[in-house]
Amino acid sequence: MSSSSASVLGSYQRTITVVALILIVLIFSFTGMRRAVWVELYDVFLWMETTPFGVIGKTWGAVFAVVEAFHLLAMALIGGAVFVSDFRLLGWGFKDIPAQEVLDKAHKVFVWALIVVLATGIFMACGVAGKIYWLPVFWYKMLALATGILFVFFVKRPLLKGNIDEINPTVIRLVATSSMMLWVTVAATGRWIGFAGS
Amino acid sequence: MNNARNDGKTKKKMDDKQLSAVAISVTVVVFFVIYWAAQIQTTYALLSSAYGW
Repeated sequence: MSSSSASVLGSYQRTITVVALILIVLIFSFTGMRRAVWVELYDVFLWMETTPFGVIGKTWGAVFAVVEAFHLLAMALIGGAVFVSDFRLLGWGFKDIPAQEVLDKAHKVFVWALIVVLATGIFMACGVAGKIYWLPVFWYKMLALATGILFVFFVKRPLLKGNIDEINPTVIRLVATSSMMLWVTVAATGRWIGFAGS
Repeated sequence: MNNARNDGKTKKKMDDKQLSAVAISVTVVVFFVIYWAAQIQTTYALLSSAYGW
């Protein structure tokens, strides 16, 4: 490999990693690997129901409901943080406040809300592990959630940390649109789990 | 040459962060448009078979 092609690979390391990850997820999704992993995970989900979280969640509906309330409130916070920052990026609102200020403050809210969502989500998943394992929508939610978290911390934040004026406006619009799409899907599929399979 | 002049404007090459953002954003938009279109279509098919729409 020549030194010039090596330097091109070096300067586009992040892009190469992202494309490689996308290809890995696609190969995983459209081959027998996905089914094999899903079958292997059945014992994990059975075990989740036997943990203290699982027992409490299954035995006391009131505890599950209170935890779910915090889960939904935190999801609302995430939605707010995402929409505020993405609306600012699209120029649809908060134009009188510097974009960087909106993004930084929204990100702080997002991080705390995400911690609550994950903690309460794990508790709730343990309580209904035997149900959600069989729901395709649960796996789509996990795919959207994992993509959303990686997207925020490894793509969106690093991109928008610098001077936003130097970024191509089309890229900013694309990032904001896909960000909203991801988190709306996380919220919608989450509510769908509540209605499905009961 | 990295920069190309066009009508007095300078088009810069996208850097690594922007290019990776485009790659994942396009994938996300395409994937979820297909996903939600399929969901809407199956819901419509279910409703039409249930109510004879």
